[in-house]
Amino acid sequence: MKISRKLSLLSIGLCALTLILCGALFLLTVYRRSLDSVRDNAQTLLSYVAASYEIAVEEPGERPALVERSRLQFLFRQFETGDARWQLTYGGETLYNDSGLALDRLLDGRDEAYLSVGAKRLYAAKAQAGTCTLYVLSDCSPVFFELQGLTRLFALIGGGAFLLIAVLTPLLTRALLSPLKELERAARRIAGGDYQTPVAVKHNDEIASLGRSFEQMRQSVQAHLLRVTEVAEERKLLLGALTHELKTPLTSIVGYSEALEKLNLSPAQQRESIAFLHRESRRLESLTQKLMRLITLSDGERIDCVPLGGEQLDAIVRPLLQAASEKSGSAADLDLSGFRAAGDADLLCTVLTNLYDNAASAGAKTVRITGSGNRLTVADDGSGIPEAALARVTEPFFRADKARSRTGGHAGLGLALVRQIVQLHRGTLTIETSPGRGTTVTVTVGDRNETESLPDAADFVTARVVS
Amino acid sequence: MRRIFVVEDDEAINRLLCMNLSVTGYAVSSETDGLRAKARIEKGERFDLALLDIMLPGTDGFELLETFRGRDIPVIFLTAKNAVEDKVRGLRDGAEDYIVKPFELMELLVRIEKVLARHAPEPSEISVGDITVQPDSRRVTKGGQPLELTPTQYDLLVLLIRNRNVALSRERILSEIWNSDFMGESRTIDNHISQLRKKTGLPISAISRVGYRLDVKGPEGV
Repeated sequence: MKISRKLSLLSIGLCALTLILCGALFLLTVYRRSLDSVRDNAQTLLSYVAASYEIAVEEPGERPALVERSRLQFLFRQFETGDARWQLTYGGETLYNDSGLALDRLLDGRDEAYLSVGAKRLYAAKAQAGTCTLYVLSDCSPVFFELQGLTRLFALIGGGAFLLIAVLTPLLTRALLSPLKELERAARRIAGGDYQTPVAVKHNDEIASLGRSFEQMRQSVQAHLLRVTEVAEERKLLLGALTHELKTPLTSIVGYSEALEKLNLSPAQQRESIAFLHRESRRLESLTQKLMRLITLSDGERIDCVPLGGEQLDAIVRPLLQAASEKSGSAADLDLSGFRAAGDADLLCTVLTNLYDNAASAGAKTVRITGSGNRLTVADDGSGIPEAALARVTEPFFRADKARSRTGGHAGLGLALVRQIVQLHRGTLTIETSPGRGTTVTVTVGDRNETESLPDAADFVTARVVS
Repeated sequence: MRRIFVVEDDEAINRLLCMNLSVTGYAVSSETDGLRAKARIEKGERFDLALLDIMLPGTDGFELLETFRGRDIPVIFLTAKNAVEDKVRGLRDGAEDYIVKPFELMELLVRIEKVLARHAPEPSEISVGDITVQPDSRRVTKGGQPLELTPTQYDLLVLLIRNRNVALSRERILSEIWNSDFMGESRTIDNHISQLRKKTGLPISAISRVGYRLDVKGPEGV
């Protein structure tokens, strides 16, 4: 059963009960009072008649009993006695009785009594009047008639009131509970996936406070959902890019191996196929390595920060850069003597080699790599980064210039990796580029407060065009 | 010989396609840059078919498609994207087919053959060595002299010539010649091959773990 119906029925039931109880009590009281007033009237009349009669019959002297009886009888008949009925007894003998009942016997020694005779309710009382005993009898029927009328009236009024209540209560209950209905609709909307529509809150009662809690819940669910969707979207894009990147070398590997197996190839073609197989396998390997690195770093792997000097970093980086610059033809000018900071030497080396690779693939003739204090700078004289691409260069698999990067075998993970490493070192990454003239990337290490939680990219990555 | 234009920016895949197609008897020309490819077509170079990568530097495959369609060159898209909308768009825009990377050599060749069958009429004569086949009349000559072949031997010969230099698996041969529901034994194929080898004198070699291959050297082959 609906709560509004329950409340309505309960209220109506309570009202009906109250009405009936009140009515009964009221009628009972009226009944008592009316009976009392009948009794009072009868008593007043009785004592008045008894007193007057006593005075009237007071005549000294002895008389024979018969005379005396006649005198008493005669005198009583002279009395104006109202609408009550009387019985007069003298020494056990009834001198007068217009009550039609033997009151002396019915009272049986009591001074007064309510009597039921047939359907009638009567009041009888006695009083001593000189030598006689006087009995009075009053009819209580008018009281019952009055009570009947009152009962009818009360039933009418009560019934009307009850009807009014019965009609109004459900309406009022529904009106009071309508905010609950609204809340229910809101909950349904939320359950159905609509997190946009706010929950309307009226008034200032308990339901309204429930509604406010609802609204808070909706907002936090919406915010949470938005974040989850964003993350999922990001993951999806990353996965799409990853699939695409993996498919390119895989296509060659699958294709050349199939060709070697099934085709009638000349020795020269066989050699070429094997060379491509080797090259593309290496490309796949380096791609997966970088990716694994990126994933483990993203998963919050702890890094070992130890105090580093420029010469330590130089010892690791120099041979790598020498080999790389022989391949790419971009000269590497390395001077890390002024570098002093706490960090992970291998990861910082990854930063420098990746930044060098980017510079080399941007067609730089010379790449200057310097370190001073906690700052590492890689400056090149390559083609720079187009302004439109600048905001996205640290995204995984993003390549500012697809054509050149592809043939160079880069997957677009370099800056994403650098960003991750810088984040783990609580440093900052600044990319300043001047299209056509070169790019300068500056990395600082341990610049941000140790207690800060890892921030979003926006906080520590700056990318801008300088002229 | 039918000419195929390969437009693919990844050097390894580009060379792979060229090698596969030239070995199987197509004349191949290739380009790694979309804009250069477009320029060549606009200059009036003719091809029977183009294989187009969708993601190209300079321009993308969808844009190139219009140029190729304008010159009535059928296009098969190569795509690393498995996205349905790309395929739908490619086909709606008028590509003949698409191939998702990484692709299988057989699949590539079959699709190319199908598109070519729709667009470029088959030459009335196919020659390998001193064997000449006229598909219209199902006549075969060896050194100008008519050669009697059973219908099965004829079909097998045509299949091998069309896939010259490609090793055909026994399953493929079975399904092409006897339809897929024929539950023949491999021995049946071996017998037919050896008879065909005897009659035609063509170098049909058995490739271990794969099947048979008709090796053709010279201008049409390697």
